[in-house]
Amino acid sequence: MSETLLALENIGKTYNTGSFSVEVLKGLTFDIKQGEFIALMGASGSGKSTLMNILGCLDVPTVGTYLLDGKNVSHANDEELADIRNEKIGFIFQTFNLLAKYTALDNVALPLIYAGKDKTERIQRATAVLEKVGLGDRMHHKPNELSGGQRQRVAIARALVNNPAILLADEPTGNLDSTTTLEILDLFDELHQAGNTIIMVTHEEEVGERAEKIIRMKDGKII
Amino acid sequence: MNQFHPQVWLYNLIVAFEAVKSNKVRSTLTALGIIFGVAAVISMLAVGNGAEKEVMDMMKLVGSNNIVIQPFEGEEQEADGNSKQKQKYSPGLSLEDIENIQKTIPNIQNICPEIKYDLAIVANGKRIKSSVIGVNRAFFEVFNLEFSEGDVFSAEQVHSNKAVCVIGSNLKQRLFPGIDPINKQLKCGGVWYTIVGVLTGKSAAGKELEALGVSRYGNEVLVPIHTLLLRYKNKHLVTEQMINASHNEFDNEGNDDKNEPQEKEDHHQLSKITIQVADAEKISPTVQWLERKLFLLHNQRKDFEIKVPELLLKQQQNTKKIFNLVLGAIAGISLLIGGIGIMNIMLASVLERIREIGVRMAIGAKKKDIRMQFMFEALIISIGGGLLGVALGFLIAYSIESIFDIQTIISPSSVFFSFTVSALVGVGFGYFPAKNASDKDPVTSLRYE
Repeated sequence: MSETLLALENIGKTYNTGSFSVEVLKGLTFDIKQGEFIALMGASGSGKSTLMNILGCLDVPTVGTYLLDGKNVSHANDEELADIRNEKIGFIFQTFNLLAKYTALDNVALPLIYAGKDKTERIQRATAVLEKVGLGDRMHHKPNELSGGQRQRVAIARALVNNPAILLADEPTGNLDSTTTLEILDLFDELHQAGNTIIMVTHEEEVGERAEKIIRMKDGKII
Repeated sequence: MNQFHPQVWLYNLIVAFEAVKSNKVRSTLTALGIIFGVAAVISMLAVGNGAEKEVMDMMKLVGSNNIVIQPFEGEEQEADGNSKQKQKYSPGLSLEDIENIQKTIPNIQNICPEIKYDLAIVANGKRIKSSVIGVNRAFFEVFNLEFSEGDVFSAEQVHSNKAVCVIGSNLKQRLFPGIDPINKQLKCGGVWYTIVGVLTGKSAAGKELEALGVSRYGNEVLVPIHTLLLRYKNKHLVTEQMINASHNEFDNEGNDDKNEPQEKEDHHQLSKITIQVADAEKISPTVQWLERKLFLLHNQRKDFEIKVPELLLKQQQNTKKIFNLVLGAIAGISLLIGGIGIMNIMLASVLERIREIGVRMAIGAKKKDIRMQFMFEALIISIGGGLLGVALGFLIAYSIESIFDIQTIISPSSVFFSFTVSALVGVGFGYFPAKNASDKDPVTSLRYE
């Protein structure tokens, strides 16, 4: 439980937009341990989304070192980043980001395709994880036939399917009503209890308080 | 993780198929450019190949290394310009010319004089307007004529001026349908001939061949030339009236024979001379010699013309080649436009699916996976279009053949070529949109509205 999973050291990110540059992250240093449930909070513009992108290997820091599961990923190229995202990270988005043309099962199995798994294994694992999030009876429905909460469960199942080291949830309850929000947070608790490491970006206090630990950000710094 | 994953390939292919399928109308419209391009290439090449084959067939028919001398039918022009005033006497093309040529001009392998009479032919109770041509034995060799029945008249038959003849395949069909014509009798202009041979049918465009100075020998009666000279009046002594009279002799119903165009005055004894030289390089010097020799023999009147059918055909072939090239280029341009159409649609398709691209990247799709997905989509459209185009090309070629009666030949190489080009168009014009898709930034793509 106490093993360090993520180690950030002096992480900075600067965006160059033509003539002037914006420093979005200013020398962040923190660790996240295996099995922690962390809420990343801050007002919009605080840099939490940028930090999220770097943690999720969608982007690389301008300066600093980012160790993920013991591996330095600060200078990885696009291909390596894609592999890391596939193997180590499960994304959960505010807008679910499911592919509308595919059934719940196909959406969940998608990461396994890019991992090169064969069809039998894909269906087996996707089915198992859908049952785990309580959607065993909705597997062959398309996203538009599901409620908001069910869609987010499909997205969570998709994030879990390749047994990632870390779950990254970007405002996972932002598009949900209060009842469904509670259901999803309960699911997060369950996953946390089962040993998953979760980082959740949110700006809602009551959502953030459900986490084990809160990291607050302001103007690109941790406060 | 860098190894080859057939699963990913297969998956990308399926995704591409589904994308094409879910936009059926759009995909079909996009493929139309390729379909028409490929169809155009295939049918154009088929027409071109057919024309080339026809020329080759004609080449065979005119024989190799032949020079044809015919009476000149147009206005004669003389060097000094006063053409009409001093028309000198010319004996015309005659057997004496033949002797002179044989004696003085080298490199001649065969020389075949022809005398042609347009006459009515009667046999088996039927009457047909056709011609009798007096030829020698070498004639059959020079023109590669083959026999379906019987054989050429023998040397003795020629020597003893026997009234024997060889008939063309058409004539056989019209006069002796289903009957063996060998040793049957045939009457032309008051002379009875015994049939000793029937030529095989040849199929080549008659008019084109005539322009080259070659006859078809399908409807004619071929007899030994000396027999002909012996049995009929010398050609330059035969007047129109006599010909008409000979026609009317058999013409009880008063047919339209009189309307038959005849030269008013023909001072030539021979209708045609065909000279075969030993090898192709000797053709042009021989033509020059012949020109000078005949000019002198004919009292400096140029009342003959010399043609080399082979060279004329080669010229024709070259013109046709250029024509084919131009047609091919036009077809190629339509393929190119088809390709641009694919690129256009693919770019739109990428733009529509930026969000999808972002999601796929977030969950582990590599750039090359995204690229592959869109490349497959372009390839499916172009290869599918290519296949339909091949089918349409066959249909067009077939229609051209049956409607315009032009020979078309679809060569496997033209199918292969146009199909390959359509696939290459897919790769070429699909690459840019696919690259465009794979270069998207996952962060901005995920937020794209």
